[in-house]
Amino acid sequence: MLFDNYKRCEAFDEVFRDDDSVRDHYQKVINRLGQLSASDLETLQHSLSYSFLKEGVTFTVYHDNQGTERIFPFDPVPRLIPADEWATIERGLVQRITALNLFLKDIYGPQKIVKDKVVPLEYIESAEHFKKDFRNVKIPYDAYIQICGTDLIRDVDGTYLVLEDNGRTPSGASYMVENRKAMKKVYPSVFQEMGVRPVEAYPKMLLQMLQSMSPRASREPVCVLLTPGMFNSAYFEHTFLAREMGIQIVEGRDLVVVDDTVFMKTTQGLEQVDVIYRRIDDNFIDPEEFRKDSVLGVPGLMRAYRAGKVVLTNAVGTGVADDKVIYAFVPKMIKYYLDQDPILNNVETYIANEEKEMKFILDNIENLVVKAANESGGYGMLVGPKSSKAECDKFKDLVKASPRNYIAQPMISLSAHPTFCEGGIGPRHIDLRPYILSGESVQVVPGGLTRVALNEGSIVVNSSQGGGSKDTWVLNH
Amino acid sequence: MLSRVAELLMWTSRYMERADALARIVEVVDQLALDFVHPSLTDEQAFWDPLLASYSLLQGNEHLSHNDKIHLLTLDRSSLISVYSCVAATRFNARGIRDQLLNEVWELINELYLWCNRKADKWKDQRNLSEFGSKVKFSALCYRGIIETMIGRTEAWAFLHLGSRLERADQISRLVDMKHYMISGKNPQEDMLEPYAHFVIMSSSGSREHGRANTSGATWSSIVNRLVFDVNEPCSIRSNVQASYEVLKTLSRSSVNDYGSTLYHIGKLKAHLDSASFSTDAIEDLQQFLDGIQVQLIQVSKAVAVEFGMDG
Repeated sequence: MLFDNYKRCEAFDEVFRDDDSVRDHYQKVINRLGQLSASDLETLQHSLSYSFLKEGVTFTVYHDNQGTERIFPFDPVPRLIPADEWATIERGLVQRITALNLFLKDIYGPQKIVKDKVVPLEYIESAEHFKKDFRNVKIPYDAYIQICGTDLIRDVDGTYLVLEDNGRTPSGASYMVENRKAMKKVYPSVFQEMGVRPVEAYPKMLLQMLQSMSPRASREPVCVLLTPGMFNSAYFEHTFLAREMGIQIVEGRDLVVVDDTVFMKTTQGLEQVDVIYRRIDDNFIDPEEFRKDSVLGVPGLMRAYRAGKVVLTNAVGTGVADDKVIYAFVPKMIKYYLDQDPILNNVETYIANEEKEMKFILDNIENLVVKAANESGGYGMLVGPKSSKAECDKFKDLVKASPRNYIAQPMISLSAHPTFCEGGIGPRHIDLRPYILSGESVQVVPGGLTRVALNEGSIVVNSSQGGGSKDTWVLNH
Repeated sequence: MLSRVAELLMWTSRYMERADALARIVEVVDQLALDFVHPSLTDEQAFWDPLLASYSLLQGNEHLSHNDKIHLLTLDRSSLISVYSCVAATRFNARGIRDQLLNEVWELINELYLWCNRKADKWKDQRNLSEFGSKVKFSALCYRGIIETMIGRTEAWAFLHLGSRLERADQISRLVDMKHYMISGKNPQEDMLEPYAHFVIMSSSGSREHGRANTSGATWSSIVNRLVFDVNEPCSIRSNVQASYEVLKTLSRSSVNDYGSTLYHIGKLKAHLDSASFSTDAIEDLQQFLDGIQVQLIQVSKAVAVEFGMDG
């Protein structure tokens, strides 16, 4: 049947052991799927895709200049994580966000970590998203990154590694919830049998966190979601979250700052806003402070922010933690602030700005993955083993010209998962983006968004570059 | 409610009504043209050109083929007035307020838009105006049904409802005015078109009385009375202005006595129609009367935009 012709690849296979037997926690799902034919699964996938299209569960592609909306391809074979494995991931993520928030509090405050020579000042100050004018701004609970989407991968022996932290405006949580809704319709009986932990509470958890951040305790907080507008690639997510939380979705033009206080323009006049879940990057959020040409932001918003009249989620300047050079120092931060060893390790990282490491990168570029320090979405990246000599040479020049802006990592193949594509089941590489909320306490949603590289052999899982997604089931046992 | 949201809610309804109104006329004319016989006029001259003219689309497009003229009105993506463009604009506005709309409303609009896209791709091979008209018409009916039966009488409902009512009043005024384009008096044999004109206008109006009116050979005067002045006819201009007045009374903080306010303008229009309904025979120039109605509807829309902060 479906799995008869399945051939594992060299990467760690999430479902099948090296002897081709099924891992215990996958047994029930594989038995259920084994009763289906390829044609059944194809029909199912088409029906789910049409349902997503009809509901408008889409993302917008920019590079064709048409603002084309596409569905995020969805694979009906779920990814499972047993309870004990998840417990370790959860502890590791809590540890990591705690250290990152302490780091941000420190670098926007006394900068002890610099004085103690753990992280060089030049790396912080040269980070594209470091906002030096925002030192000593009061942040509720010192939670700078209140919403984080940390990308995890598994190496060849199945060890979880952190690939990157997304501490600015991580996206994808809506697809996590929508995928779950779709899967519940498709496999209701399997859900009951398996004991899958729910993810649908994410919007409620997010709302509670936002409300807890309000600078005014005397009344019910007014929280809004600030979107760049309907042409943004993640616009569906913005509407989804605002709707599920029951808060207003606003654009920059809906807000006005008067006497360092933020108001939204309503049919009944101005209404004060307390907390803004912004899905706009720092550089576009206030033309008075950052990019003067931004029409997405709100003039004067930073005045209100500094005055403590409004809270922004995430705080201004958290992007410094997304810098891939700073990422290389996170294990040291965990040791420095928490005196603990990292529960989830980084992928080994070479910083081009360090002389010895630069030489290593240039000598071994064809075996490495080279990444721009401040790019995301799979852009500004060279996968050495899959690139031509000319492409490698071009990246060598880029790295030499701007060493601060590049890092390199060994090629990790990413674990593989049976995935339905091209009329059958084959192994495709996956990662995992769990969502961590940090306020008065830290909470991790059980699961996250599993992204899958649908092209055979590809390790690029980004939606803009041929990636799809799977539902992620964290099991109760 | 955000002013921007109120504006988008209103325009979502307006564009849906506009798509429905045009799709209805196209469907009726297409069916009528199939067995139309006239000694000197083709169906294109008798129906399609006047229809284009009534939407100010004939000038500059006289050279187009019969099919291209129909395309311009229906599934032409580049035509600002086509049914396709109205549906796309409905969806564009709805997408801006997706978080405010019931899922059922969004999915209805999105599904219609996706369907129109597929039809627009295959326009040349699979033209079926009857199917097209039915689909748009049915979607608009479902839209109204959901708005009226599944949404509480909130501010959001009020703006959706207001958009529908103002647009329907405007569209009916244009539809009645279409007779002027069909029977312009330039061709002596146009008189033979009068029953056709009455049929097109009554059938396209969406009035439940259209069957009886068509079979009983209703007079022009009775058609005008029904579509313009009959307060019990859901399609009529007067009943839609009346409904707009009622909903604006709940929304507006102005008074009918505040010169230039929303209630002043809608109240003036309502009074104008109420008084004219007592002496319809006294209307010497119907076209001028309808033009006046359209101007007043624009004044109401402008006043709404100002009062509710929709003008930026």
